[in-house]
Amino acid sequence: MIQVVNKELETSTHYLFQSALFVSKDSVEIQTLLGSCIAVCLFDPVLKSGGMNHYMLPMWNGEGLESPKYGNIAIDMLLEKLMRLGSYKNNLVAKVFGGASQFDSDHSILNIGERNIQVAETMLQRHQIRIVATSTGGTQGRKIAFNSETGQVMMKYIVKQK
Amino acid sequence: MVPEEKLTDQFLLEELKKRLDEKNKLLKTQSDMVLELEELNDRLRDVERVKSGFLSNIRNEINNPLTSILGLSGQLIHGQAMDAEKIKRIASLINKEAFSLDFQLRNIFSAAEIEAGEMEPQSASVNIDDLIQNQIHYFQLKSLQHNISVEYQGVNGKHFKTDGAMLQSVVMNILSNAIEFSEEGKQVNIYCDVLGSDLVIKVQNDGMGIDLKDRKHIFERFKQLDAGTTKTHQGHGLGLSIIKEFTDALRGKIEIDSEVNKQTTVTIILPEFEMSLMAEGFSSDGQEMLFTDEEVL
Repeated sequence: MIQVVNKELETSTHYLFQSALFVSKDSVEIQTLLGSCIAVCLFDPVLKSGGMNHYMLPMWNGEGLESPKYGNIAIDMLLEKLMRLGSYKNNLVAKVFGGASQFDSDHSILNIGERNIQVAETMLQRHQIRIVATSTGGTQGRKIAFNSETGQVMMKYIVKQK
Repeated sequence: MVPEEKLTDQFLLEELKKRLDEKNKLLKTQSDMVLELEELNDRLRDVERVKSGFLSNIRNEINNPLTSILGLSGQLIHGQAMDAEKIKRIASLINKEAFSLDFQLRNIFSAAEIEAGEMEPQSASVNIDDLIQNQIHYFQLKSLQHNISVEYQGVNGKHFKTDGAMLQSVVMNILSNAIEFSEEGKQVNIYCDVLGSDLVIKVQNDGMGIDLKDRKHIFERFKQLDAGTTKTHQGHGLGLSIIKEFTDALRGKIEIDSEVNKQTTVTIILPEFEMSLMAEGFSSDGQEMLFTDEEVL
């Protein structure tokens, strides 16, 4: 785990790997790099806590391990973890990033990026969680930093996609 | 919209054709989706079946060795005086059972870590020869029991930047399969090389091989191709899904080349795993965007 403590602000940094998720009650800046992957940031403005996932594929179809590599698993797991920290579903708001399409990839017909975005939108709607900010699609990768205490997200486009 | 007086037959025909095409496209999408749903449904049913199989399976895999260990060690403690040879035999049986338990538990913990979304690869300079030779040593008894010799061609003590624990788990599972599915008396070959900035590990064995049509199923969790009453091999099929997940996490590739009843070669190709790019802070250079609430772009 990379945890760098920024003493001035008392915010530590957590780098989130693909297929992983992270939630915190404390002030943590969660960073990640996205290509066609999606990161859903859920924030509870009441408890000032939040969390982020980073999934690579839209749906788990029974193959491989049932991990948050898949959108449908990752979103439910993130929600469940926040609720275990005491959040009410009604209070949560969402920010969604990523899902770029990678034209140079051989699998462009499948367009994983777009299907990843769809899963996030459909599932958040089903959970009745409002999406309050989003930057998805396009062809550029993104670097994001989500502050779990303020809910703010800083985003930058990156030239080289992963 | 075209003004009414300009509507020509040609235009109407084209419009009709266009709409018909659109409708056909929609119908096609719909039937594709139905097919996809049916396939998904079949898979889910499979998953349910596999899951219940896994529970009873895993219970055996853990309970059986434990029962043996308890029984055998009990014999040593409470049994009558026995000669050194017999004690040695019992000790080696205990060792075999404990080994199997250790192996299963390592995989169960790895799988649990992956499923919990707690995979956090760490980059370190790893001595590849040491790592692989340790694994060969770990399987020493198993290969002896199967009468398999393991040959290793290393990289002369070279170090490589990757996550040691994940790589170890990958090598452990590939080697375990290679030994388990080798023909008795044969040799398992491990070749290792650093090509450019990639680490290449090839594990080759002579045995039953994997049919082309089965190859896409082998990475599914809990799946063993010879499940059921004819099952002759240990394990519950977690190994290959762990190999796949860890290799993915390290941004590597797996290739399987196999001829049925002849030779199988599993190749793992890993790029150097660098943390610097990810660990660097979020520098402010004026290019960043801030997303507070209520701003849907």
